[in-house]
Amino acid sequence: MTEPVQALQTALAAEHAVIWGYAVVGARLDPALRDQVRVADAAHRDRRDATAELVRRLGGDPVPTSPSYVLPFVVAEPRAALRLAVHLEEGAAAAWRYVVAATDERPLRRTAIAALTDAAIRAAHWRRLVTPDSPTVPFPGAQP
Amino acid sequence: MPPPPLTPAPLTPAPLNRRQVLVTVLAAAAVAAAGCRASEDASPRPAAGPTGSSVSPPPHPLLAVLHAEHRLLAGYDATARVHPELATRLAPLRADHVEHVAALQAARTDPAGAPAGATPAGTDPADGVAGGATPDGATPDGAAPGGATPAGATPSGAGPESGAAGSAPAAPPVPNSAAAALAALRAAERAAAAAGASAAETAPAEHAALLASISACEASHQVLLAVGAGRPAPG
Repeated sequence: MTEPVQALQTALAAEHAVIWGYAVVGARLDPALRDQVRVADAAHRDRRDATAELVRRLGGDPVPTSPSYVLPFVVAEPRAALRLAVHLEEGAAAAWRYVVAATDERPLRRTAIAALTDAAIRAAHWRRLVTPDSPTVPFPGAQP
Repeated sequence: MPPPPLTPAPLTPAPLNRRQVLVTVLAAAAVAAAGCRASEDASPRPAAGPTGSSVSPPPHPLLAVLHAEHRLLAGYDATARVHPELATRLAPLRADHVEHVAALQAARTDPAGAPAGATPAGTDPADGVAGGATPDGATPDGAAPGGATPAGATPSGAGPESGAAGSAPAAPPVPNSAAAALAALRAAERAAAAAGASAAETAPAEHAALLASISACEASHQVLLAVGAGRPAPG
C-alpha cells in the first residue's frame, strides 16, 4: 500500500496546480462568475494549507508549488475557462480519490472523502454551465 | 499515482500539446487504479470469507449501498412518472445511479475487487467472476447470473435485490408539487451520500474508492437538484 504521506503529497501537488489554474480561469471567465471563482480558489487554498500541515505532521516535507504549469488546452475565452475549471476539479477529485484508497486510517479517509466530494460538487457546478445536459459523472475522480 | 491536474511547466518551454497532457492524465488514472488493486492485494480480506461454519456470513459491505441505489432509482422513476416535466432534468442523474448499481454489482461478484469505478465493461472477465468463488456475503441475491440484473429498468417499489435483506425498497410517495418532489429527491441523495461516505470510511481498501466516488456523485446530485429551487449552488 502506498504510504499515506506519499498520497497526500500527490493531493498537495494537485491543489497547488488547481490554485494556479484558477488564476487563469478567473482572468478569462465572464466577470459575472468571478465571485464563484474566488470562492472555489479560497476553498482550495484552505485545502492546500491543511494538506501541507498534515504532510508535515506525518514527517514529510510538503511538495512546493511549481512556478507555472502547462494548460491542457488553449484558454482564450470564457467557455474555455469554464472547461478548465472542470478539468481542475476533476484533477483534484482524482488526487483525493487516490488518497482514499491509500489509507486505512479513518480520519485521513474522512478528510480525503470530504475533499473528493467538494471537488465533485464544484466540478458539477462548472460542468452544468458547459454541458447542461450532462452535468455530472457517475464516479468523480475515476477517469472515464 | 495521479499527477497534478496541470503539468508543471518545464524550465525550457517544451511543446507539450493538449493530447500529450490528456494522455498523461489518463495514464495516471490507470496507474491510480492499479494502485488500488495493488493495495488490495496487501490488505487482509474483510472478515466475510466463509469458513465452513453454519453461521451466516455478515452482509457484504456493499450490499447496503446497493440497496440504497435501488431505492434512489425507484424514487427517480416515480418522480418522473408523476412529474413528466422533470424527466429530462432527472435523466442524467438517474443514469449515474444505473452506473452505480452496475459497478457495485461488479465489485460484489469480482473477488479481485471493484473496477476502477468508471467502466465495468473494462474489467477482466476471466478474473474470477464466473469461477463460482464468490467469497463474500454469499447471499442468494448475488446469484443473478452474469450481471443480468436489469439495472436500467428497476421497477419502482422492489428492486431485484429485494429478497436479500428483507426490506423491499418501496418508493416513497411523490409530492404533488414539482418543487417538493425535487426537494424529496434532494433529501434522498443527501442521505445516500452521507451513508455512502460513512461506508467508505471503514470499507476495505478495494471498495473504499468506489464508495467514496459514489458518495461524492450523490453530493453533486444534491447540489444540482437545488439549482433553481431558491438555493444557489455553492461555488
